Amino acid sequence: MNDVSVLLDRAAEGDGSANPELFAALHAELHTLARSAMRGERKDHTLQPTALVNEAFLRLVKTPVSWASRAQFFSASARVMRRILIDHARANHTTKRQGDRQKVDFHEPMALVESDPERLLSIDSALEKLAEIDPRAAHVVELRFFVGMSVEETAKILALSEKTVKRDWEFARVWLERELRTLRPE
Amino acid sequence: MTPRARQLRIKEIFSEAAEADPEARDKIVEIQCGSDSEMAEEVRSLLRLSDADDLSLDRLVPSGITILDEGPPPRHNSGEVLESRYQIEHFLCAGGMGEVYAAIDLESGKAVALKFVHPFPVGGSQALARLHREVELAKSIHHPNVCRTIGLAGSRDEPFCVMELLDGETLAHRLANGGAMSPGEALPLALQICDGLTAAHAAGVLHRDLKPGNIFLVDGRAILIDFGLAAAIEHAGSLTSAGAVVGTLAYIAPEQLDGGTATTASDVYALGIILHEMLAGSKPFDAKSPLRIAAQKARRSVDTTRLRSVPALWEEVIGRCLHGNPAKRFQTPAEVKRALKRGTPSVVFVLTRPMVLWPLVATAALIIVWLAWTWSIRDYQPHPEAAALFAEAQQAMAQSAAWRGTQLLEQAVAKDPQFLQARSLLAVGYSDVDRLDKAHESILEATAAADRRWRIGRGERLGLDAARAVVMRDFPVASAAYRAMAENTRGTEHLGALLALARTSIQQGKPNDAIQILTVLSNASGGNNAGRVLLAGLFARKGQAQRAAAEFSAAEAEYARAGNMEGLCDVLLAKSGTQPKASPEKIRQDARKVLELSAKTGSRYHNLMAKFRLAGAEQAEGHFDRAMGMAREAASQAEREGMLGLAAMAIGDFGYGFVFLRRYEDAADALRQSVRMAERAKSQGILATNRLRLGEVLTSLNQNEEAIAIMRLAVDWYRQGGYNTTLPFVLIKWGTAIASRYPIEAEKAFQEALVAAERTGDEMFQSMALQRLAGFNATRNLRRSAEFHARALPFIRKVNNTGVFFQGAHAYAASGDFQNAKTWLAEGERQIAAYPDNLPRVFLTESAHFTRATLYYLQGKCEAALHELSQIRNKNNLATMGVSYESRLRRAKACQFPDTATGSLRWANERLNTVPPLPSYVSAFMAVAAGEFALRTGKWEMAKRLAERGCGFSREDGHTVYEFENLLVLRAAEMHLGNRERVRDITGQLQLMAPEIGIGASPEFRGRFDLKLLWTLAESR
Repeated sequence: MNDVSVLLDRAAEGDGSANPELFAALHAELHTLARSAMRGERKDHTLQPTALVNEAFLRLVKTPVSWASRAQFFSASARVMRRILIDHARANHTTKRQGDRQKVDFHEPMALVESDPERLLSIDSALEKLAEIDPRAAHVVELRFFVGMSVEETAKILALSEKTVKRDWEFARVWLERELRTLRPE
Repeated sequence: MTPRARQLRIKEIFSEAAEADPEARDKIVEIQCGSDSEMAEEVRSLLRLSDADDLSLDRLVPSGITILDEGPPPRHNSGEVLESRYQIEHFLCAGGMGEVYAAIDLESGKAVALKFVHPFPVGGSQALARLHREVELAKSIHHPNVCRTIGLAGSRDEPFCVMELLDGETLAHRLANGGAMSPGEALPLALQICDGLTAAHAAGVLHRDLKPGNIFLVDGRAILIDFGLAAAIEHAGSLTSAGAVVGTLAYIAPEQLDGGTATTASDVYALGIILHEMLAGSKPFDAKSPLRIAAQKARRSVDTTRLRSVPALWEEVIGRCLHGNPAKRFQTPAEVKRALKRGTPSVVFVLTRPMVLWPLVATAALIIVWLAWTWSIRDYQPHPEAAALFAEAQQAMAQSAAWRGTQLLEQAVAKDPQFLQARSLLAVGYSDVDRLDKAHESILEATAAADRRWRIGRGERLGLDAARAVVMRDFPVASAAYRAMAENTRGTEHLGALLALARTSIQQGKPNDAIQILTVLSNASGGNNAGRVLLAGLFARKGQAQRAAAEFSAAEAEYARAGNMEGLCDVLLAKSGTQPKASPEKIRQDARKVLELSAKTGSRYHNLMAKFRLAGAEQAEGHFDRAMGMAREAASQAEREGMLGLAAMAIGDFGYGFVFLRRYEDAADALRQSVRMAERAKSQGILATNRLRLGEVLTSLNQNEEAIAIMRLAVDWYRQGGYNTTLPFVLIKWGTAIASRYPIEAEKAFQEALVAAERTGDEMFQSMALQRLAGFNATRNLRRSAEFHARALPFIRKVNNTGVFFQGAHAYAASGDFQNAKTWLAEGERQIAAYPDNLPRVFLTESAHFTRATLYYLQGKCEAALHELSQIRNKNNLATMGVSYESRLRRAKACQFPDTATGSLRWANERLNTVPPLPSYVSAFMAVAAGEFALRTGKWEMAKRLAERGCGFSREDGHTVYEFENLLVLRAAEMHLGNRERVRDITGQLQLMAPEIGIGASPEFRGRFDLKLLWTLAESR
């Protein structure tokens, strides 16, 4: 992958996160980055999703791009990041059920400290439901929860006011919680 | 209600309730849900959850990704000997690049550090070679503030760098444990970091990864480590270390983020972040926030609000280190050091910021008193003599005598070093006379002076902010500051602010705003003379000669009445400087008067300017050599009297004049001299202007490589420096220079110029850009050319860009649109009538004849065409060059006197084979003429060869219109040679091309005689 600026520019015309080419490029890049990190260059061996996305940006977007394209990038990254995390949680979940926690798939560089991959999987499916009634709030969750962006950044990316982002977030937060509790009563 | 709408309604009610007071919530739910109790219950259940803070989403994933692998243990153990020389003592740490060990060099017995560089997965030997080079360079740095690099050792797969072993903590460690530093503690360290960096840069090494973790503190000494290693890693193809980049992202300059090359200014950027961190305890951008870093850096602004409690000088220095545009940053760490040394921050720091300390200790009543007191802080009362000089400088600068204004302000500052307003305006003055280096210094001086002062007033603060913005060419910010200043002041201060605001508006490319401000000013209380002069200049530039003259003479009369000889000189000079159509005699009169007056006042500046004006009058009369001689004489006087920049400007201006005479060698000589002088004078703007001109002249001399290299320097300077108002012009020149060699880039440059001119609303440049685009297409695509000409029309009418009417008439005639061609030609000729008797008039008149000749010829009126051509005396002066003139003349002759064709064919063949070859578009056109002569004389084979060559010339740079004409010749030749199939092919090709390039389909060609002729020459078989 040399430069995704072209993809971004094209994506900026429509829904970037739905652009399969961009999605594939990001997916591959985030994976590669995580894998190279795993080879032990880092002392703490922890990668923040924010840092990952950020680095992906540095590496993929080599020519200056417009602000809209940058926003597009982070927005699409959030969706990709969610997908990676969920894929991973799913794999981990299966391993766990097979009673073999030690087995690590070396093609999959990321693991979750999350002791409970199920939590993530159920959040994911609840989020799917939320997206049906309030897609904007779901997008806010993607950026905030899966990439760790602040309210301010999320507002900029989605071109919303901070107040709207806060409202969406607050609603999603409790709505998803209620949904999760119905799915898995405590 | 659909389920979805219902959910959104629930959201709405929930949001409203959640934001209300807890007591009010029930009420809201009740009112909003009405009788829908199910909905009310749902909202209530959500509200109950919203108070908890341990919901699933509250545990954000970002703490949640970990690499399972714990990483390998240190690969080497204590006691192990590497390369039979380095005995490992112990493992130190694993940094971003690899492990670091303390070791003993068994050969020297010294303690060293071994830093492993991670194996390169991609790039292999190339990356290793680069690492070797960088380490070799780093070895040559010997400086107390740079860690000694001893060498590179180890195997190919596991290279390590041997370095001096340092015993101390890193700056990162110090900041993490001790927090922010006081300015007194930070200063010596900052200066040492600058020294270390300077030493490295002198050795040709950029750090590229400067950060607090790479700075060791050993007994109060700052020592930089890891020089060049980042470069080696960066170029290893793939970044082996994700951590290295993520970790230092905060320190990377925006140009590196955008894939640009690192320079010393990129290291300066990192230095700025480090200084911020030292003083504020945090980075200006939050490392955890990808948007802040990628986008805020890209937005090229920096927020220094966290520096509120440090001396203003530090804030200024850090702001300049962190400028998003590398060209506007400090270029070297030595500059940073010089700037920092200006302040003596530790002592006065508490005193300068009473605002920060007072409220902490004061009671409420005291705070009120304190607030009243700060609002009432009056600006500093300068020494009366300094104040008088300042007021005069304000006027001088407004009436385009920036040099004089600057000299006055230098005196004012010398008289009263505490006079902040004068220092700020001096910075503006320096930037006006193109001494950006001095302008920046003045800003720093002013800031340091502010730190030294007990208190500074609001007006002084605004003045400094505005000056900084002007120097940085951030004109909207400057305008805002001046506007605030004008609103809060009265009397002379108010006046000064308005004048400054008007000047800034002009620089911002908004002359109409300036006119508005100045008109209000001149209507109020008898007006102000400087404002009048500025206004007159604006009218003159807009072509409103009468209003300009009225304002000028009002100002002149007023100064004469008041006996203000300096002011009078300024007006007289501004008059001849801004009125493009002033007659030489008038200019001379005014200049002589200035000479007389300046003999009385002793103003060397006025004396010089008058001499330049006298030279200008000579030039306007066509005495170029005499003018140049006078200018050179005045320039050496300027140099002797310390006004080298002015000399560089004049030599450049007059030297460039030779271009009108096509005396390119003379022009190039003068421009080279001007460039050298500007370099010496450190006048960046004059340097860029004359580089641009020199490049343009060199293209005319066919020295294209050098030309393009020189111009590129200038274009980059304009692009980066924020010269938004000049940029379109620069791009137009640039595009014109490269048009024959790089036509695609040239067209792009014209388009960029058009966009830039549209942005600033500059009609002259819009007209010029459209003209170039139209001209560019005149030999490529007549349809597009006509479109651009049509778009240009309203602008060229407004700005009197007369030459374009002839270009347009030419292009319309070529596309067979004789009606438009005639209209354009007539309008151009009408404009000429308004010109005074000067050289431009002569050239334009000849252009008109030439165009008319073309029009007649294309209509088949050969005799009339010949007559028009015979009117042209300076045929080499025509933009289309002598050869082009000659071939047109011979074509018209051939049609009038057919037996001249043989001689003309010989002539054309010779011309086509001259060395160096003619530009491709001239050759392409010559080939058409030659082909026509060959057809007329029945030399079919030769016609065919000429046409094929002509097609080649045309295709070289995409001159499709000439390709079309050459194909017509070829068709005729093939017809006579009996190649029926070729004829059919070519005819098909012609039919496809004709509508595309805007020539009517064959065989009418929208009435173009020459094309019909070529068509019939084929049929006449």
